[in-house]
Amino acid sequence: MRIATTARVLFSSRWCIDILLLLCAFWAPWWLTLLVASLFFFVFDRFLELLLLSLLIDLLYGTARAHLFNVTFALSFCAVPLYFFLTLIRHRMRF
Amino acid sequence: MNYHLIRSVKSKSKLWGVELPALFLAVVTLFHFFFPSALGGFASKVALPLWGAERSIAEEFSAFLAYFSSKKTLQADVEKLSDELAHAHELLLDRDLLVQENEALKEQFGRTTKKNERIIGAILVAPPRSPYDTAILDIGEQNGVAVGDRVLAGSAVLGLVSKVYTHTSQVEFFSTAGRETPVGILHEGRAIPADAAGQGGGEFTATLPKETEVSVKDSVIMPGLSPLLFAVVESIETTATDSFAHVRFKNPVSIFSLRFLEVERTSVGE
Repeated sequence: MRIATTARVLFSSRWCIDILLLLCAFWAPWWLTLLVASLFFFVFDRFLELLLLSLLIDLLYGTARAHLFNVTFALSFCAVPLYFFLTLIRHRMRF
Repeated sequence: MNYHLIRSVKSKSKLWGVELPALFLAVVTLFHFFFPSALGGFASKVALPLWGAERSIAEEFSAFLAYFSSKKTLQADVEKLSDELAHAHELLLDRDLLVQENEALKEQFGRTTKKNERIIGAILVAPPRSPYDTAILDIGEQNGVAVGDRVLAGSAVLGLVSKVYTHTSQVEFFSTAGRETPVGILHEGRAIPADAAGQGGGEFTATLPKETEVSVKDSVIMPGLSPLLFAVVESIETTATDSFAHVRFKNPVSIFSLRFLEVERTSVGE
């Protein structure tokens, strides 16, 4: 019971989730990080962490690609429409 | 009395909803444009201890797991590896002899090859963790690594150093999607020129005229006086009506299972 309460408190704390996602960006595959961040987008308001994480992934591993118009921040640029798309879905959802 | 429904109340700060994310990215992109290595350098500095910690935890954990593995399994593993090593020794018996012969022949024709210094680096991050088919090594500017240095695994050339920070460096594999590399496919003593288009994950494709004689398991090399092994032909696809053959080849070593890479310094002595 106490463990469940602690887990609930931890998962409702945005700072804890931020730290978890940050560690995810360093240690987990990029797609898993973005997937988890997308899930938490529905838990917290204005989850800008999604953009920050994609930016961090770009800074760590990004490289300019000819077929991506030599843009280093390709993932971040893709994360912006994803952010808007998720915002749209969130607005249309009823809990 | 009229009450506003909660859903009809519009957000006061619309800035957080749409404009701020776009604004933030624009500012960061501009900053990166003027100071290209500042943000990346800072991020890699923060990440280095975390990657180091991950590696040591993984090593400790595998050592802990090995403690529980049975003696029988370990003995079987040792026997299997010993057999493989003995077989590899047999295959390499004439290698040194052939290398010496090759050097002697080159010298006779007045062409000597300069041996570049190689630095070994541990892989901190490898695909598929990174989205761009890149790897991060634990050696950087401090160890003499420079942008453009070749990255190898034994005698197989895998990529180039694309970014260098103080303690780390980023490797871009030739198999990165969208990247084209001029190579030669060795078939019966002839090197057939081709452009290897990276497909990601250590795989490539090349399009050749259908009449070109290429077979499966042919070696693909990087052109040069001392050709380096680039890949091995895996399959050749063509149809009766097609004028071209689509050759698929793969790196001789899997980039997903590597733990170390060698960086060949092109600027020795600097």
